[in-house]
Amino acid sequence: MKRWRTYALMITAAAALVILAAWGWQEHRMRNAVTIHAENHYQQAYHELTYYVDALQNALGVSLAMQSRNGMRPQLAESWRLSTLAHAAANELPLTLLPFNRANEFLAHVGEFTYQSAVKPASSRPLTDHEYHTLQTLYRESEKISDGLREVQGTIMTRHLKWMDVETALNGQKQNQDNQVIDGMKQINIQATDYTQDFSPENPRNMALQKNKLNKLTGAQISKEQAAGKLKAMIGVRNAALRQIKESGRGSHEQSYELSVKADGGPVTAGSVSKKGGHVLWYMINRPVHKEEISLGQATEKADRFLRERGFHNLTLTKRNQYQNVAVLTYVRQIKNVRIYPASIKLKVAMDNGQIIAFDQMNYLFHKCEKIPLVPKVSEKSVRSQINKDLKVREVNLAVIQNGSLDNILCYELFVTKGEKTYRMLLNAANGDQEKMELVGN
Amino acid sequence: MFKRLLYLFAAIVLVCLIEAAAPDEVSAFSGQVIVRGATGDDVIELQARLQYCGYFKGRIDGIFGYGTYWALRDFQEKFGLKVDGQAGSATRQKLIRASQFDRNYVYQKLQEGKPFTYYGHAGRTSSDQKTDSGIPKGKAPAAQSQGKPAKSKYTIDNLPQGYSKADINLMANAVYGESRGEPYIGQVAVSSVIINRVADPRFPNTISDVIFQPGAFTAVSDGQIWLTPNETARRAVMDAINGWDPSQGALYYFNPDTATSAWIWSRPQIQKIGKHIFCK
Repeated sequence: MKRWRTYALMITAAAALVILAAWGWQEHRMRNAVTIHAENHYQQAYHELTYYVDALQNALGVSLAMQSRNGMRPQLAESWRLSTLAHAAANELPLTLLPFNRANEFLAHVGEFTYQSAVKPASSRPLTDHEYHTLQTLYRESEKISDGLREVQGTIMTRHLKWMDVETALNGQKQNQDNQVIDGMKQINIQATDYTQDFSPENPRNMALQKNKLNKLTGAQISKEQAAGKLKAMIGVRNAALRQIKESGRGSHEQSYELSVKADGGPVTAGSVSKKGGHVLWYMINRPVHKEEISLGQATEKADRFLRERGFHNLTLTKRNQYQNVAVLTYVRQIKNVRIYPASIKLKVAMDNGQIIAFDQMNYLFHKCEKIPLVPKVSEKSVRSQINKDLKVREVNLAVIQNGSLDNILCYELFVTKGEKTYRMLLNAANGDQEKMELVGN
Repeated sequence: MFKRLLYLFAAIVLVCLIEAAAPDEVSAFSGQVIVRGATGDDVIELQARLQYCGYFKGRIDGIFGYGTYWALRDFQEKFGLKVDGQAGSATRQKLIRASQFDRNYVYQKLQEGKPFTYYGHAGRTSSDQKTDSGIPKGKAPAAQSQGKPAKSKYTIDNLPQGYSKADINLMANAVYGESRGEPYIGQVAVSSVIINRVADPRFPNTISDVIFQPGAFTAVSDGQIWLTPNETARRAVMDAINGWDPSQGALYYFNPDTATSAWIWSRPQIQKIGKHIFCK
């Protein structure tokens, strides 16, 4: 009896062991398959990247060698296409946390430059000397980057390196692990850094990143107490208590206090107040919004009054949306009959009681566009005459907008319809060029 | 005295009868001014009525967009009303007199979710083909709003320009997976980082590419992105899309307690919200 029991136990144990081993083997195989699949995907993306950067270098070289600058355009358009593909391939790689940033930036510059010089212009104006020079710089840089990528590719191939290891190394605790792929990529990045530095003055994209075209705020420096007072006055809750206040770090483009206040039993209001001048940059009240009691029209009246009472004048409502039970309103500055689109204020109205639960005037403060001439050079009549006859012009305004290279320009804003679709067209008021065209919500 | 009372009573009865016989015209709409950007039952009725008289040719979806706006302006112009593109009481009265609104029909079609049109009587169709026949000439009989609407079960998807419903859902998933324990502002800031990356030339150009960029978000790497997001995360995403950016243009964020990358510490920091440090 006892023996029988021992046998049974042993057999069960053996069976369990076999099942466990089989299961483990199965798991291992599956894991392997997934890893190989991911690795192949990374490999493919990297090979695509090197291929496209090579082709890009080629395309830039060919356009430089062309006889007439006029004939370059198709070639530049090709470069534009390749830069987009290369950019997409680069973004498939696990390089977000690697200083590969600037090589990506290079691809973005090529894209921007080729688009501005070859794809966008309607006229067949030849490249200017300046543009030709830029093209030369870009070509030289593409050579370096392409070489660097090829080198890393060679290393990966000969030494059978794996991108999965790169991912592990980047996520791992030991940051300074020896990984040849990472080292190679860092090398490329250093080369691109040189390029970025001698390129940056007329590089439009960098301005978006540095925000150095912004208006400077005026006014005296304020203290923490004053900042809290400003926020309380803005939301109209004088008895709210300060819960938290911090200064923003060196990366912020406007030195400010980040704070939150709360009245007894009320919701928390978080916001930001600039140190200079004490402007409330934005605030948000976090509370659930109940069933809507007021209409969008009434919500607009509430917002109008809110702005008026706080000394905002010469604003015009340009956008109004209702999302379930909140209304989001966008106002822009209006000077005479010109809408200054970059100078916008946004408000969020809770439609249960009409409270302004969020406010933002960052764009309004920093994009006042004071120096833009507001007189059009082209008449409205001539702008209308250049429009496709199938389109019905519904509304014409003068407006200042920010174009792709971040310059503020005066435009005619036309709302046109074709069938049931409404389009917004922005035509440069200085020369009639089309700056932007978009389909607006039904 | 008795006679007088009788007269009064008769008068009251008469008034009541008139009220009952002729449906209260303003009560067809909720009685509020309908403006561009609005959504809801009033807008559905407005669109249906404008379509009934042939001014609105778009889809009846309950969102007062540009299509409805131009249709309303055309209507106001034709009927000698003040052309302001919003449905005030005078415009609503005119509309009610010029059109019929079969509430049950419209709501039934909305719930079915198929494209349909509402041109007069003969022109009703629930397929995509639209007929222009059946547009009544001149004035149609008074409105016949049939009782209160069956409580609406259809959904109105008013989406911010340039964003699809899938984009918003995906962002809500990512934000929830990344920052569900964070204060509300922190969740809005995480949403903003996604949007800032889309706008930045060094990062991918679409919401989904930014979110699924390898190694970009830990919630994607460890699968937490597939948790079901709550209402707060969705609200945070909508606020960020509508332009609130508590992160002040940040492109990265990290948790200083768990961050392993030395490089991330070298980025210029903007501020700390909750557990996350946001940087450029």
